[in-house]
Amino acid sequence: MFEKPSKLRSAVLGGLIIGALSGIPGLNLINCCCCAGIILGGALSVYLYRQEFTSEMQPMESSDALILGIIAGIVGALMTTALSAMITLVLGPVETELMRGMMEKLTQKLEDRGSIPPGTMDNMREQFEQAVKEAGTIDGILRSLVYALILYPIFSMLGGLIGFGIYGKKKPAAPPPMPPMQQ
Amino acid sequence: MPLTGTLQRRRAPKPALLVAVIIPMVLDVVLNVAGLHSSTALTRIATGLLFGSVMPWCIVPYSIEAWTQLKQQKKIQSPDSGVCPHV
Repeated sequence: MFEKPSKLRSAVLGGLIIGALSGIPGLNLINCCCCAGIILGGALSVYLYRQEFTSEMQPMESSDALILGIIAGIVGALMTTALSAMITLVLGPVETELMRGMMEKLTQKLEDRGSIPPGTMDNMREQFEQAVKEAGTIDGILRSLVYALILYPIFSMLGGLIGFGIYGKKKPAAPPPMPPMQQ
Repeated sequence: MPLTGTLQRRRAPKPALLVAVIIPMVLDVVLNVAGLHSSTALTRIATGLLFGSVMPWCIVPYSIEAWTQLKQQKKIQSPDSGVCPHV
């Protein structure tokens, strides 16, 4: 039996997918669905790793999926923070503005219906102003990196385990037939 | 069945079942975004309940199995364990 393939390539690719899904403004709204982008990246890294297995290798285990998910999450957190910081520095706080537009529409609707107390809109606007101010600072970037380094590996690990459940275990190769006995 | 089994079995649901419970939730969101169907609180509760009632039976047994494997690997690799790693 051969050794298992290296996890690094699949984990980094999964992390890049997480980074792209979570760092690009607009695309990162997928994470509103229970961090679906991060879970998807973790599951994809397991899928990619499984493709590297051949029938002569030891079967993939759930611990491999767990480690892959955690590594992909860490890479994804670093990628997302770097990408978000670059976009904020080059284009300005596009992501925050996009979110502000959506949240203002939603809050206005809820205020009109009477679901939330009046004045919530002003509070939210103040919070967004604060977020816009902090987005480009080193302090803000480091804070978002710390949050990402805690949250992303957890959700990516869950994605890895779900991916392991979906793609299944590869059955170990059957032993070669015994040669005929010589007399 | 996911709701009747115990975690001690460590047998996760079949892959087809996992995909089958994800599809309604994804369809609910995608069709809502496409404007072909309006996602209501009821549809979200129904699809989320379906997903949430099956997924723990995949995640929990696999995570128990994975942490147990990692623990065993660590035990084998530690020099004072007395177990030869090549066995």
